[in-house]
Amino acid sequence: MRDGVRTRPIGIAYTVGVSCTESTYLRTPWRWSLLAGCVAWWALVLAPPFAGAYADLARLLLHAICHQIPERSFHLFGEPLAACHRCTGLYAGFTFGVLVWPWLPILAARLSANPRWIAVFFVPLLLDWAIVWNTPLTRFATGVVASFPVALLPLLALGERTADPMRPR
Amino acid sequence: MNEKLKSAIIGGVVAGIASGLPYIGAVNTACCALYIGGGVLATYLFMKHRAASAKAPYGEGAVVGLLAGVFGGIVATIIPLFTGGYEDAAQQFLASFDMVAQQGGELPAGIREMFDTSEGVSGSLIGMFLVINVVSAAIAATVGGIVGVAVFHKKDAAAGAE
Repeated sequence: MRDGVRTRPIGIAYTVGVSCTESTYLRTPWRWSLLAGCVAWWALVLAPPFAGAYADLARLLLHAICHQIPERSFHLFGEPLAACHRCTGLYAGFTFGVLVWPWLPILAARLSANPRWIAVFFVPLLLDWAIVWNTPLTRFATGVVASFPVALLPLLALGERTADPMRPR
Repeated sequence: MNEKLKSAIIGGVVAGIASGLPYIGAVNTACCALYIGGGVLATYLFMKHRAASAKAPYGEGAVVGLLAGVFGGIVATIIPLFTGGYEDAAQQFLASFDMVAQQGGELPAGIREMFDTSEGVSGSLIGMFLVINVVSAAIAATVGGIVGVAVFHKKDAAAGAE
């Protein structure tokens, strides 16, 4: 496949063939560094309820990248998190994607063969943003839906950057 | 100049200027949309002259986006020096310090002086914002760069999928 012998692979052979490559890329050990980054990010998002007197200060760290309106943020122990419903959903979907994509090679192959489809997953988020009667659940859920497929791309990028050229794929 | 670097500088500077401006910079409160846009722009410029290929170069897109984010973060730190943006940010921090003090928390000695802009913006305040801007811009623009590759990659149908 990589030597270009199969020029127009189609159907199952195409899907399975691509999935072999993708699963090698997706399961790169470097994905753990991406996951560590997600954990660090979640620590910032979840910090305010545990920060006591420093809650406001903890929220300021993410103030530049989220409006943090308390009415539009999840609360834990009565204290709003450092990100709004939609941002929390985006982070949740991304983290879930980093965890799950390595175990979905066929779906990953299909999506990476047509990466522009990712734009489709943003449609619910944009519609939800545009309508005024959205709820915390819709804001969170559409965020998850939008960012879950995006998580595939950094995994592919990491796999591509760190792949051993001698290793058969 | 290296095409990768050139694209990253253009994307980064555009995103950085927009992020550093009052009001327009507030767009970043939508998950760093301006920095993500800067990464997408950098990748668009980088991919524009690239020949079609079977596999999308996500890794290269990530590097271009990362570089754009670093440049964007630096520019976004410089712009508020001229627009007075640091005074507002410092006031927000000072208000949080008051809240900490009211609730019985303790702050390290000298931290209030760092945010006191009555005699000009201190170097340590600029340094702190530089770190925050560069890190957040680099993360967002890297994602933007990778998404940009997904959008602008020209697929070489003859080579098939790899």
